[in-house]
Amino acid sequence: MKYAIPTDDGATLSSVFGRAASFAIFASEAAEPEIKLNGGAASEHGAGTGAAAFLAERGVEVVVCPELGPKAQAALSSAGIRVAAAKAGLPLREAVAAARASR
Amino acid sequence: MTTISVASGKGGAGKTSVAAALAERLGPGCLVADCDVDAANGAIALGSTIRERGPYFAGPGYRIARESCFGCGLCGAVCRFGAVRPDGTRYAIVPELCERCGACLDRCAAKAIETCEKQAGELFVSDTILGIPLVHAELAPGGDTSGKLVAKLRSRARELAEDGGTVIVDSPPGIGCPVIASITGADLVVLVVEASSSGLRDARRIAELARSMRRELVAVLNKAGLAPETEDLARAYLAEAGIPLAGEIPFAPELRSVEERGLTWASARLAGEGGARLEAALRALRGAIDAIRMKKEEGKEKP
Repeated sequence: MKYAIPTDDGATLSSVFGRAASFAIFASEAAEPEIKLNGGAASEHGAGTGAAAFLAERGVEVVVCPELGPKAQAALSSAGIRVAAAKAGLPLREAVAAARASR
Repeated sequence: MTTISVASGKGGAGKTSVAAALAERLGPGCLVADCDVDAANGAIALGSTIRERGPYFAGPGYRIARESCFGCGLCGAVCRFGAVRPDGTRYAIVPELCERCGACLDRCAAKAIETCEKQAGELFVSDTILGIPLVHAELAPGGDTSGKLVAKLRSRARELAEDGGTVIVDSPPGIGCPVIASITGADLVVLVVEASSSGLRDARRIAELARSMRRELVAVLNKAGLAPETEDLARAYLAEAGIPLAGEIPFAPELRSVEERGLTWASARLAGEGGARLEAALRALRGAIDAIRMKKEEGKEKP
């Protein structure tokens, strides 16, 4: 499974999705994360749907985040990306583990 | 830090008045972020003096490089907003009218159109007469509010908030992008329901949005007494939706004069039954906020 975790500090789960500074992408549960800057963090509108498109293009299968706006939810679900809830501030690796456990 | 977002769906329902009254009741240690930038009135409600200001840049704007323009006018023909005007033998973009769609950029035969930073407004941090800092913004003519601007205001508020403090977010009306940015991450959404049919309809829309984002909600009915039948519908809706009703703020002309004197409803001292209802509503909201804060503190102690 390929996971994406929004993060502002590169170490913990952000409280936001579309406006997070970057995404930590785990190619698998065990892989080292690759940090991708979120180019849409400062877009005026549509940050959430933009981020969903960005992650879908990268083949992400699971997004872990505390909450999502309705349009981001719709965009992720139409891209077939599962959303797992986890608490903001969780270390990235634990967020992946939480998503795995929530299946 | 605990974040309380005050939202209503409908404009003019009483968000700013409720937010200001709650700020006064919570007192020092709390901070207000006026995120309703299209109708920013937190600075008036709280009696504030600007302490710090900085520019706000929205997205890129466009301008025509005069030396490259040969005056063909394709840009003016394609602009739907009338933002491209002849300027002598060339053309120029009127920034206030430009919606930044970029159609002119695609059309320009001379590649004379370039992007430029467009200052869309200013961000402020102000001191208020209540001793509570206020983070707010003002838009330049033609500028519009956005999720980006709200996110900026909230991040400035986070930087200023004390440890264990409370940020009160005065949300914009509606249910769009800036509202989503206003309630994201909020520990509690205070739903101000105006006792009118549009007030109730819009309250339902924002409640649905907040629910879809799994926010905790508490409602307060405002302008109670104005439309009794609609109030019954509002109470029935809240009960059915399982949204606790903290109380009811009476529709009283005195509340307006209180604000005209630069005070908040927290020090309104209304006489009689109306005063008791207002007091009960503010106390219950305060109680709901305290309960959320306590829950957060407990959560911190046992990780």
